[in-house]
Amino acid sequence: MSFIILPLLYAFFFAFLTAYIASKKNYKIRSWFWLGFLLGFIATGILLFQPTKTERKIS
Amino acid sequence: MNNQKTLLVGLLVMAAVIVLFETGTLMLDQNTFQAQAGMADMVLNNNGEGAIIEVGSHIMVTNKFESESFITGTFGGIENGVIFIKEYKGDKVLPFAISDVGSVVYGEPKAVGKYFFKGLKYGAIGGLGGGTALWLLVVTDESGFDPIEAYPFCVGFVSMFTIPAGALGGLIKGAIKQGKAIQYIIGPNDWQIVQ
Repeated sequence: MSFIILPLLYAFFFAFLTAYIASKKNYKIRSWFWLGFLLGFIATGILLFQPTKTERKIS
Repeated sequence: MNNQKTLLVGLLVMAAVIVLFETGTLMLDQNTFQAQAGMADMVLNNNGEGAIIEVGSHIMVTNKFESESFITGTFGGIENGVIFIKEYKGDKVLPFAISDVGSVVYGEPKAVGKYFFKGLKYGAIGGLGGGTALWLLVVTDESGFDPIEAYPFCVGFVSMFTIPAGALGGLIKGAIKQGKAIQYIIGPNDWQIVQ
């Protein structure tokens, strides 16, 4: 049982971490959450090297 | 901002659960152990000298008829003349008839390597946990550090101390355990499994 649970926990850990960084950098949170879930630390690494997006202001 | 708080809480919960799982505080396979709890410890006797191998100990049992055949794992107990050994990897419980036992090695012959890597793992987990805690302190302190850039630095800084400490601790523990490995040769003039 633990052989399923532990990878899932790690997947969710990286999903939350990637989503948190995505929200800080103004990227799509949901997309990066799933990328983090599927790719793990690879997605986190990719996102860390992305430039921070500036928020668009609607006039 | 609310989203970020939710994600941060999720992240910390996941990190806490992973630490609990990896350190063995939280175990999913407890039913296997509970089922074996009723089983007896192994009692050995050699001309009045006694030894007890408790359930849950690390043992290696060799076959009397085939000297190259052996089983290693966690001792699950004895029941009706059969020794039950749980494999280190996986949940398989292997039976071994007492009449076939050639020798019992109690202890961990390859403990140094095993505990060294275990220590490294705990050191890395400690580094991750401690680094995250330090990062939270740095971020909430409004010290002006960029939270994203600060995270790897915090984890790296704490890991610098916890990983070598974990490895050293594992090395010492392994050396102690390895030194304690005892072999009981089973035979009519040697050790006998009483129970």
